[in-house]
Amino acid sequence: MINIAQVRHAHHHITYHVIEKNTLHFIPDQSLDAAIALFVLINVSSQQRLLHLLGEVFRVLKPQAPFVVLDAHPDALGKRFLDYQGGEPDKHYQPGERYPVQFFHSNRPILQVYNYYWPKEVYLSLLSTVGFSQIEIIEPTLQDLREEELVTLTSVPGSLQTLAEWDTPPISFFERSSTCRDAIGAGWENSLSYFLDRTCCKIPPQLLQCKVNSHNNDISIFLCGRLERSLARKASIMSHHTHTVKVGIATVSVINVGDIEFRLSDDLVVPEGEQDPALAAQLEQPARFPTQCFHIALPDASILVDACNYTRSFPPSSPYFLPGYQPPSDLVTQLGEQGVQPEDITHLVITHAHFDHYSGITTERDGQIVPCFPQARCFLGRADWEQSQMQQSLDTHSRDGSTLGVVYQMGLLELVEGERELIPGIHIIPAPGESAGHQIVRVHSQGQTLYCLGDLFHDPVEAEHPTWMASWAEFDTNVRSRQMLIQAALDEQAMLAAAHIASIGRVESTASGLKWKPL
Amino acid sequence: MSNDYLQPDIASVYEQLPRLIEPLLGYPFVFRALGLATNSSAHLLDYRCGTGNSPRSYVTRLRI
Repeated sequence: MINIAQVRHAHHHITYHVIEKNTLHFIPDQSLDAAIALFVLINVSSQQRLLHLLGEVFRVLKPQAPFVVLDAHPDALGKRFLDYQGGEPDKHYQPGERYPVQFFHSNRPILQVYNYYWPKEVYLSLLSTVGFSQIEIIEPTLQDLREEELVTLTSVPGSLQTLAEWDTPPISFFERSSTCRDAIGAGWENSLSYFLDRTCCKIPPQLLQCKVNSHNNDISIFLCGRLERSLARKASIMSHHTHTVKVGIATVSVINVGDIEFRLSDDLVVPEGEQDPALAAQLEQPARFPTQCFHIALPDASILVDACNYTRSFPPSSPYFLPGYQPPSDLVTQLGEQGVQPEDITHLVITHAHFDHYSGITTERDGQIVPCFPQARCFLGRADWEQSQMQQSLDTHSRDGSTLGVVYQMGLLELVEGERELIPGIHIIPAPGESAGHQIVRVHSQGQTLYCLGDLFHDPVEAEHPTWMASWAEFDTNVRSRQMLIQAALDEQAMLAAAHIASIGRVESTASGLKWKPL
Repeated sequence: MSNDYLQPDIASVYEQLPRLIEPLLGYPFVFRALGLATNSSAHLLDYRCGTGNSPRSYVTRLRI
């Protein structure tokens, strides 16, 4: 490959290098004006290497320089596009799993290579970890192009509308929210664009350093106009830490306040006889998990499900602490970006009394610990409140006392037993097992349903294997709660949102068992 | 990384692959995102796998 590049595609403004071990040691820090990584990340088999690769790109970019990543669309696996197909139809791939990519010429297979499946959440998580921020997604299809741009496809037999590319994006494009930029060097903030396209080849990564000195101002005008058009199709992800989904008239925002890392195998108990060697290796790998809260916006209510203060929950002494990790903005800031102020919150449901689910219900103001959401009624499962460990640690200096104790003293805490309707369409449903008082929230509007699951599942593998659970969970109770939820979710085709699962998903019953399908 | 590149014919086959969708839904959006139209010079890192045909097309397109 490098020989072809150097011989056939030489140019006096292009320098080719072969990159060893994903390290750009020959490029000084903060020295480049822009970077792109096209068809690269899908070739990388481990998150650790991806993290290193992206960290190197971040290192060599000047502050405020843009970055574009372009790869095969992870949600389009199994789709047959005009000249390629990645993955097998109806096959559910796990993050990091290898899948075949078949290229076609005149409908004949001509080349097969392999890529690795990384869902969008992994990209977003890794990109934010190394320092990139404010990412949006654009997923163009042929429908987005002007008629004159489609003339190159006139030789394709049949109607363009029959092509998968017509309405299925083979590409996703993550991009800052600004719709009109100045050119390079005119003061962009540090931005990142993530661009997914068809897969390419399997070769050692090469570096092209291209000295750009363009005088074609027409392109600049073209950029802004086309970018605005493209942004009309951007996904509902508003930033890499918050994304929203509509449930009837309700808008549910998923807010990640920070990632944690651990080996699922450290806490997960798999019953004897249910071990899966293929999964075991995967579960033993350190993996990142978000810590998510959920906001439900309705015309007459503003409901928060869990409130995590990331730095309180995961101090350096925590086994989940990530050295060097820069968490995103806190919950209140991210809510503010959605136009939600703390005093707007009318209800705060605490799914269970594990600290990362209520550490953010209070804040310090003028030396006093006060409720963070002063108008919110807080709802906690009574069984969690009455556990002896909780009652013994409610002095004002403890973490429970300075959070749950404060809202209790102010008369804002309501203890929940059984099912409870907060407002029409919003129900608290008991789902014990993870803790004695664990509860979930059902959002139902205009025939659509979403469940905020708390920690009923920590990972999709638990939804697919309901008897696999954390070592601290009460087995029989938890299995019953999960079976109840899974049956309801199947019946209602409900969306599921869990605190530590990056994607909103659905469970599906297949011939090979339950499957978690990310939306 | 995949080691498919070790196969001797991969590079030459790849070089000849038809590219119908990529130029429509791929590279134009990259350029738009980067704003690679400026009267000042800039250094771009193109971290990629490939035979260099696409980078070569950039400089042609940008008339540099």
